[in-house]
Amino acid sequence: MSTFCRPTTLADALAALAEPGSRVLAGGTDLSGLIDRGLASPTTVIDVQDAGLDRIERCGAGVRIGATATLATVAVSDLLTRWTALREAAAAAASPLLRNVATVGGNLCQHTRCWYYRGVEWTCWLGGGDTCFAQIGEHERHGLQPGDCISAHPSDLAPALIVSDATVVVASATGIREQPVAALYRRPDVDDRSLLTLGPDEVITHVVLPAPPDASVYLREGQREAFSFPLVGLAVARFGERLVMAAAGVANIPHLLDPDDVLHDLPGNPQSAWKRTVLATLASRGRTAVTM
Amino acid sequence: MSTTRTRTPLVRGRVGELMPRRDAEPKVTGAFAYSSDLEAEGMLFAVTVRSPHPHARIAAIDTAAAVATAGVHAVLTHADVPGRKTVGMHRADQPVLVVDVVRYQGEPVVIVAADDLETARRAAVLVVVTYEVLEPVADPERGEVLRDVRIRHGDQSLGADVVVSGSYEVGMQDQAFLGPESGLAIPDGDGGVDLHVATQWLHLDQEQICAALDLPPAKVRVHLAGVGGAFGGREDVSMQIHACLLALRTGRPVKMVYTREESFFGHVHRHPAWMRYEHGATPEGDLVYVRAEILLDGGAYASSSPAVVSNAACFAAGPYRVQRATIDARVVMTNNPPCGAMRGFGAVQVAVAHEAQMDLLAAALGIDPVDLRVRNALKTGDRMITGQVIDGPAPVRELLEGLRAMPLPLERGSLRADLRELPGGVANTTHGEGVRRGVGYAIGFKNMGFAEGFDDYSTARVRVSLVNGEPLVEVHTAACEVGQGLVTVLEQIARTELGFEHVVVLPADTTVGSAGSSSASRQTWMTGGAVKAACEAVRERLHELAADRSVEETVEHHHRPTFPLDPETGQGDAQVALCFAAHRAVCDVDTDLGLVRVVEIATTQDVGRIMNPAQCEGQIQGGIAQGLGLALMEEIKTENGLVRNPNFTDYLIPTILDMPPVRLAISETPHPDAPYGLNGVGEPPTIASTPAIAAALRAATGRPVTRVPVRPDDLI
Repeated sequence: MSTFCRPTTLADALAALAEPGSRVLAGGTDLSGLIDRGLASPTTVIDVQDAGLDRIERCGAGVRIGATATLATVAVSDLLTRWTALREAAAAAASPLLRNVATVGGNLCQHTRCWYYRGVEWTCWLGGGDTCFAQIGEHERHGLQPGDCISAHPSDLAPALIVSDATVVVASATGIREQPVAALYRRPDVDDRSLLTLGPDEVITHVVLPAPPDASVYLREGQREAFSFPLVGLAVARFGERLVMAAAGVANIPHLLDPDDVLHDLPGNPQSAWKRTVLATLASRGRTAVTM
Repeated sequence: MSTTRTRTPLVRGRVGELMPRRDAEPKVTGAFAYSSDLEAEGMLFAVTVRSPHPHARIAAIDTAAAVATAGVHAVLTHADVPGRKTVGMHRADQPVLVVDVVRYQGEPVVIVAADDLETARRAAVLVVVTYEVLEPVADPERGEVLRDVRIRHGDQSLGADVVVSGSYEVGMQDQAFLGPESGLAIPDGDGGVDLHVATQWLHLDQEQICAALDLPPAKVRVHLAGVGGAFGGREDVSMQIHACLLALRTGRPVKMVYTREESFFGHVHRHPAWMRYEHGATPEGDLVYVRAEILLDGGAYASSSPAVVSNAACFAAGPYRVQRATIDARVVMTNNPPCGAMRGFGAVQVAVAHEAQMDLLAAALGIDPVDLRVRNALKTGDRMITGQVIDGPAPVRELLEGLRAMPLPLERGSLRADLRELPGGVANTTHGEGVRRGVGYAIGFKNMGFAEGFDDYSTARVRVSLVNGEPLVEVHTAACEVGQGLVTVLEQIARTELGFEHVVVLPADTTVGSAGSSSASRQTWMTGGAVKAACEAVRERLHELAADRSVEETVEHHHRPTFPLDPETGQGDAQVALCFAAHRAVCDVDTDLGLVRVVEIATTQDVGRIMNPAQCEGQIQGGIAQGLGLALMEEIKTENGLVRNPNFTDYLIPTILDMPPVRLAISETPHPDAPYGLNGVGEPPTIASTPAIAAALRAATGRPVTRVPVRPDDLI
């Protein structure tokens, strides 16, 4: 049985998080599903919605976004008008109802939608088992990289933040550190199946955007017009002559692409190889969109 | 405005008028009580322990820890079922609670009632079921045949000069109703029970509950609670017997509401289908023969599979004249999820195949696809492939010609397009690059009502009394309002027949005779007919009406008899009446990304008589949305008997953004056998809309598109 607390300061939240077995809850749109499926069984659920982390504010030439700011606020924030890809990514995720509660921090930390990982019937490699069932089963929506886990990362925000050169501020009871968004993710290995570099006592408090790109865009192929996870989501930003591209849905973590060879390192798995065509097409169209 | 005791044409809300439905406002404001919203003093909450395995033998069930949990009032297994241990619509083959062998994933094993939902859930986790896991039969080719239907029509040696063949597949669609299975059972303290439940056929539920509980019908009263969609998925019982068992055992009201995930295991689905077709025609384009082999996966239990496979066979050739038909349709039993009734009932699957075949044939002949269909269109007086002569309306040609004459949507302009009108929508995937447009036509038909000799009927009780000197009409039936608008139409019928303003349709329950199921596009015909007949009987006696004397009549309405199919040849007058609808889909496809924008669906449908224009259009729009869902996204995915996507994150249904404008032309060819000349409306929109979209996708991409739902990777 879990206990629940709703601290009103970050310090209280971090103190609670220092207790082993506790988990942070923000919008709850992912964690509640994970608990229902038995994929998470925290001893304490720490609801950080009142911890004062929901503000979006100017920060030098950029903007600082609190981790519990909702996707709905990011999508329409006046302070973010020059971060087009980010706003578009926030607006493209989920549904209006979910965007009203789902948060920036939660979107970055969400688990894969791979149905073998989510299904209680399977204990897959990523979930601590021995087998990536997607590779012997159906994986047409999965990633393009071979490996121990071929799931596809579902975050729309992560690629948009990565191409914006954003950083995340991570706090624990013992201190604060800041790192690029891409460094929030790691490839899982046999000893550690986690996709995040966060320690169990750490929480994202903010995302910091430096000066905006000259142009950016988020292109997203979904299974229907709204309320679906990305099959492929591609963020493209241009800083002067420099192009940056990153994608969701192509690897088990958000994937930074080489703009001159977007398919590099993404050979495709047998049933998912069609996504290569999608990614190449989106990259070509995205390049046009930011250079027009 | 004053009411009058004489009939007057001035009373509003009669048949054919646009009368607003009574449940519209409460439904959109949230005031409507669905079956999951019910409460009773002192009620308990019940949950179900389900098998995680699709095939297993139960070695032991240990409920001790659950029983010992504080707040738990009952933990029941098959041993606690006092009467018949099995249920089923066509054959009672499905255990109320698993006795020894589990045959599909999610099958109910144990039920638990407790003071609150959380306690019930925790107790359920403490139930220890020991399974000996067995290898599931997941491949339908290895399934045991439940029923095969052979149709041998015409001279079986006939061949043809032009032959086309193809193989087609339809995925397993779910009804995806938004209101999960739910209800409230209230014991009466005298050994009986009142069940309030969302269902499609109250008396069939009652019959099965009585059998399982070993109670007479008078002890089991079933009341219709607010239904949040049905589409066939509420014909089989789900929680009905379980809630009654627990209520009678505990002496307390028991509420049971499935979670969304449970709901995917709680009702039957549309049969997935594998079909091989061969069409032969003369060089001029006259159909000579249709050969088809049809395989449906019925899953673990019979449900209505025997009737679904019969429908698939009877409508396998589409609404076309054909000299020879050779149809072999079979439904098999496996350890996959049970499949049964869903809107369109067998006609949906075969339409995907026969319409693709007609397009193939048109291409082989160099004939326009609509011309080919018109040339071979069934008409009144023709024989179906079952040998039945169609004596009712069969306006196939008229529907096709009408559809073809409807204007096409505008081509996309050269100006920068509104992203919302392009494949991918606002997600920036295209501003027109890679987009090609395709147009596809399809037509389908199916039967109104049940077939093959079933004596179908509905019952209505109509009473007129004087209240403060003004006539009040009360209409009582057991017909289930499942969202189609039946309650409003019954009110319109009573007002039309009796001419009185004040008509009240009483809540449906089993204290009046059976109405049959709200399915098979039959309920307005059958219960509407019963209400009309009861009103007519009352009208003859209105002179008896006095302040202290009401007039009441109860009438059963039967349709004309039907007859079984010959088991060797599949010939027989099995159908009551036929309904037809044609669809034209215009689709824009991003051929680089495989994304689809359905630009418009145009449809012509003959409904016999429009009873209420808004409701008629609503049925057609909703049916098309469900057909679009099957074409583009809806599929329950199974793997070795396990369901992989039992949730609305992974089982996708269309949103309003996916749904295009519908261009509608409803025609009214009165059906001579039906009250007011009406015909079924609800199912035909779901039949040909799917193959029309598939045809448009083929036209846009040149890809074969032989399987629905069509995935993006099928189009790149």
